[in-house]
This record gives sequence, structure tokens and C-alpha cells, in this order.
Amino acid sequence: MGESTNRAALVAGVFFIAAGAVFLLESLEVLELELRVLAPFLLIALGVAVLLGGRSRRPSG
Amino acid sequence: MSGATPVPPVEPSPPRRTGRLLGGLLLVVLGGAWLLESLDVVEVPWDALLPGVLIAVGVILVVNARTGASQGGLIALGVVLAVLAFLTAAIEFPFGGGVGERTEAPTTLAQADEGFELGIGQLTVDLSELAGAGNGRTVVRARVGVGQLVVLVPAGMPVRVEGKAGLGNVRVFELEEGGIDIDLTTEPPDGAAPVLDLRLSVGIGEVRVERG
Repeated sequence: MGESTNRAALVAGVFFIAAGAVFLLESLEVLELELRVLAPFLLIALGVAVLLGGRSRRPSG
Repeated sequence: MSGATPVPPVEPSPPRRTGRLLGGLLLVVLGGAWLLESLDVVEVPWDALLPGVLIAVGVILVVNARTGASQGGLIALGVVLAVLAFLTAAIEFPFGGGVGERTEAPTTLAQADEGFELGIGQLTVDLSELAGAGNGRTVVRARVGVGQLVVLVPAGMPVRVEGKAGLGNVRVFELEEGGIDIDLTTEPPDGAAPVLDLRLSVGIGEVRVERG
């Protein structure tokens, strides 16, 4: 099939949904985030996103 | 007039067009909200709005990812939103505070009670001419998102200070602490009742309290 998946967009989308949910829960005071935890977590998450999204437009199979 | 066959316009693929449309719409909405807050028309709940928009961008990306179309613009928008949401959550960034170098010198308690804030830059709050600060405790709040917050207090006046810095340092007279999530509280010496109660914070940068 000619259809392909934009893997970078998929990974970025999942990352943004997860990050948005965490920030939303923080704003609703369900979670309490501290900069000392949040900053390295964000860096790790971005690194994982870069690694997983490195090969974009892979065939969806 | 020539008789050449007109070339049909190239239509962008539907997913890309949808992504671009929604991305542009989100930018317009965010910019409009920011503008209205800067003009003191409304107070925007950024701490909830930004994550909501970030989730929306994520959903659009996941839905459009199956088509294989390029989503670079939306990804860039998501990164910007993620950084802004991070700043809002981690350091309570004052979006309506503006940018630049500003000096505030309140002379009445009513002016001091309004509080002071700056988004990015240097904010100096000069309390040395504050009149009527001898009658009870006066709470003064000031915060800077990224930059430096300098507060000048009258010489000899008992002062209580709560200084916070997400990332940076807090210096209150001779005391100084630096690092991440700094929270430095000082009480007046000799148990004197504080006349000025300063609640100061900076997201990234420095809080400095000096005698004026």
C-alpha cells in the first residue's frame, strides 16, 4: 500500500498529549510538580521523543 | 491574451491543510488571549489553557500521522506550547507582565498592595519612599518570570522576606542561596515586628533585597 505513517508526528503527538495531561493535572492541583523533577523529566522525554521519532515516514506495514 | 492552457493550482493535501488551519487558528487564539490579558481586558488561566491546547495539538498530530504528511509546523507549535506550559507550571511565568527593564517606586500603601510583575527582564521595586509603612505590617508582592528582581527597602526598617527562585539565587542583605527551587525566608533581627513583609519570586534568575 502507498500509505505511510509519519512516525515523528505520531511520537510528537503522543508526547504532547502526555505532557499536556501532566501540566493540566498540575494546574488542577491533582499533581504537584517541582522544577528539580520536572526539568530532567522533560529533558529525558525530549530525548526519547528524538530517538523514537528519528526515522519518520516509516511504512505502516 | 495568450491561448495557453491555465495551470490548475496545486492543492495541498487535506491533512496538511487541516493541520495548518488548526495550527494557525490555535496561534491566533493564543495570541488574542495574550493581547487581551496584556490590555487588562481579561485574566487568562494559562495554567489550564496551555495544556489543553497542547493536548489538542497532540491529538491532531496523532490523527494526521497515519496519512504520512509532513507535520513540521504543528510539531514546532507543540514544542513552543510545551515550553510555555512548562514555564507556567514550573515557575508560574507572568505572561501579562511584559518584557524589559522597569522601576516601580510606590509612595502609598495602595500602590504597593497592587503587587508588581514582569515577564522577562529586570524589575526594581524601590520601597524607600513608601509612606505610611509604619502602621502595622505591609505585604508587598513582586515576581519576575525570567530575569532579576531587585527590591530596595528603607534603611533600619524591620523587614520579613520570603524569596523564591525556581532556578537561580536569592540574596537578602547578607544571606544568599542559589540552585534549584530556592526558598529563603528571613525574619527581622531581635524579634522585631516586621513593617514590610516581602513576598518575592523569580522563575529563572535572581531575587535581591537591599537597603535603599
